[in-house]
Amino acid sequence: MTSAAELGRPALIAALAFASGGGVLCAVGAMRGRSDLTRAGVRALVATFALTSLATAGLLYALLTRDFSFEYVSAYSSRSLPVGYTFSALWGGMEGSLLFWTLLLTGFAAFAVRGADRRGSRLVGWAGAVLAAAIAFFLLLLVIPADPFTRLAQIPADGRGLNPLLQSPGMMIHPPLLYTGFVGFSIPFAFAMAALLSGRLDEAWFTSTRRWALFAWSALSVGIVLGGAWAYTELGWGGYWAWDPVENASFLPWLTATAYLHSVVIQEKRRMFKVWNISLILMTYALAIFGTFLTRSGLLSSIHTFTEGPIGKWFLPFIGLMLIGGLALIALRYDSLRSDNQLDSMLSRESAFLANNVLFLAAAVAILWGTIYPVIAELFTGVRLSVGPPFFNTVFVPTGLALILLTGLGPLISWRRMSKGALLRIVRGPLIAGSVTIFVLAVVGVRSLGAMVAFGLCAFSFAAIGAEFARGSGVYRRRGMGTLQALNETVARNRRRYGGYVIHLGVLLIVIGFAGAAFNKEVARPLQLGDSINIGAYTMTYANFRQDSTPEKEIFEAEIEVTRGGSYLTTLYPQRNVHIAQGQPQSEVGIRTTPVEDLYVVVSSVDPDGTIGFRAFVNPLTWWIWAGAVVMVLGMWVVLSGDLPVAVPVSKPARSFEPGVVKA
Amino acid sequence: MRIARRCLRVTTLLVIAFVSVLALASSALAGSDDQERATNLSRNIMSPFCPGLTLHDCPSDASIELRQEILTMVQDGMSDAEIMDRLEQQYGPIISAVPDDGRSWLVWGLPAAALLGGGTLAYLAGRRWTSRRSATPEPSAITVRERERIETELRSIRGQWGGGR
Repeated sequence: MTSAAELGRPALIAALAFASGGGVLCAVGAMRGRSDLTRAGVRALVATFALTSLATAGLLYALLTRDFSFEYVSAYSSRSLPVGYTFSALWGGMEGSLLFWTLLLTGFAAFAVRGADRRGSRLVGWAGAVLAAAIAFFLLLLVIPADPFTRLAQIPADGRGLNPLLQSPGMMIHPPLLYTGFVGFSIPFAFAMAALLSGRLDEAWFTSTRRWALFAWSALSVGIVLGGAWAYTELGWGGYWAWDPVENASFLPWLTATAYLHSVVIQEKRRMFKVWNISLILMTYALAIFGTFLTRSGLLSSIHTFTEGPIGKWFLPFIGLMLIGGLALIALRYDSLRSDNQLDSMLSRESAFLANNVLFLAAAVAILWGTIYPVIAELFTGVRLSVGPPFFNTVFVPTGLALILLTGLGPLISWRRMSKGALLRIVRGPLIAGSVTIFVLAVVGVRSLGAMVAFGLCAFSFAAIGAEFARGSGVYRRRGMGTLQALNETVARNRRRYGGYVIHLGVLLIVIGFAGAAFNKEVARPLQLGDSINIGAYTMTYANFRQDSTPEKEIFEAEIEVTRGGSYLTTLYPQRNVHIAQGQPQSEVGIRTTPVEDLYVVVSSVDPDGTIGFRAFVNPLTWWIWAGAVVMVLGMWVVLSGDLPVAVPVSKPARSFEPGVVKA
Repeated sequence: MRIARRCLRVTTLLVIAFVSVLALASSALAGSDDQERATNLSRNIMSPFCPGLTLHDCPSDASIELRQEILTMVQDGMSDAEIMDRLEQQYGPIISAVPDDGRSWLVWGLPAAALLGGGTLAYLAGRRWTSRRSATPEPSAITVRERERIETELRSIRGQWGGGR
């Protein structure tokens, strides 16, 4: 059978050729100072993107036309798969997700490098070369060990279908956002490496990629939260975060990227921490690639590792090369990367940022260690061990709480230096807010120490950030503006700063949601038709059930009537479905969500007589996690919609690999 | 000012004392109930039936049975260590959510070292930086961008006032 998908593999091979050629052109152009060569390299990268798009379109076409002669199509789709989820099949398997990753990488690279070339950036040659090398690696994977266009000798009548867990609206958005985040960090990474390679070590590399870093971080943040929301509504265990290795793999680059976004402010304001910032972006990118390696190598067993494959061994040399190359370049340029300024005082905004970085990095090290410990232990002892949620909660919660304290404290401390008296004066209000919160919680009978500290710190930081907004808008209010108008004016005049504060407010709301988990209640037992069960103030009655079937699945739906204090509240319809193609049972959760608490019910099993295994949870404050994420997105929009960065005047290169100074 | 500072200090100390007493009281009360002990144990056990989830979180039927077994063991008067031993014999050491094979100091040691080491390094570096601070004051701590923004805003304010007069 011939189809448009026939073009896929040749397109990938041509893309590989263009990427390799483009990389060489960019590198030679940068070394010789020949902008014509660099420009040709940039065009080759654009062609690589076009060819990868063609290949992706080919695979999508094969998926949509149900061309089961392709191994990938038969493994991850079926005739009954809805069209919408056929798009999800693109990232449902290893080969497709690598193709999707490469599509994003080539697209971002072409866009960023072309933009930089038009602005006349001197870093474009080396950045193009670094990006081309990464693109060539992924294309090589697609051409050799992970070919998405492999044909089957015998064409099956129907495909095996997509994993039912992936058949949810959340899974249409969560993976693309995570990938956008991971891949987006390639751009600041490439420009950082370009700065090292070219010796142009001023602020140009991060000012020109600031939006990319923020964009990638935003996509990753939203992707992680959506992953949590997906787990909450689809997996049916009552939680949203299990410290699963693949969740950790997405969280690790988020931690280092968050550290980077904070610490780069110091380089911008004070020209300090230059080595540190380049190291952070290197770490972030390495961890993003490591995340893909973890997911795709099958090294760790996890509910997320839907796709285990033979490409693990390809990733290790790539990550190794990237880390060794990056570190060697940093070492080579170390002298030129020394800070222009010194720390004036240990009590200064700079120190607060430093503390923030130590905490983020310590958290990343701890989580990385816990994630890979089972593999290392097995390597040395031959015994498989687990490192699970108790470890991660113990190491992360205190660090996270300290970071929440800094969220409030940091903005109050002035740059360069501050007297203790001044700090005490300014911190008094927030401190009182925090203390009163803890006191009130204790008086009303809250007994969870962790939750009390979390709420207290959130109150402290809310008050501190609120005061910042009040101080900022005070100027405009005194000029006669209304409160809202003054706030709007304040934010509009300094979008990065106040957008950052809005993001912090979102984070605080999310922490409130997390802290609510300390008060979770749950109940589990089999129910016969007509049985009732109590949890918290709710009484739930198993009133009825309904059975149905579609070509895809056998549906069992229970009708759970909920009353509170004797009066009817709502009816929930949790489902227990069996997907026919996979024979895999799956729960659809019934949720009543309010800002106070969620009532969350699951049917965990069904007997032929209609008796159900029933589990119910009351999860206080979970709603605030999603609300906080929305506030964060608002903050991201405020920051990203701000002015384009003004290029910082280019300083003379330190020692360059450019004309005249090239060492043979 | 001094009174305010003293008030603040006293309030902070009171809150800390109050919270500590509560924490002690709640930890003394915790674990008295069999069901609670069984639940706590299930949070420290990885489910053999759901990869990546603790036994407490795992929604499968088999895990409900295992949770019930653990509750029975608790009611039979077995200690937490005895229960963990029996489960490890049955399912292997992978079932313990945090390794308890005598090398567990290794698991906990590195994160602690990272935090303490990182903190100490940052503190020492900070002190060194502050002590050898150059005597010459810097021209300005604001960036090119900030200066431009200030100038634009000053211009616009001047413009507004100029128009109003």
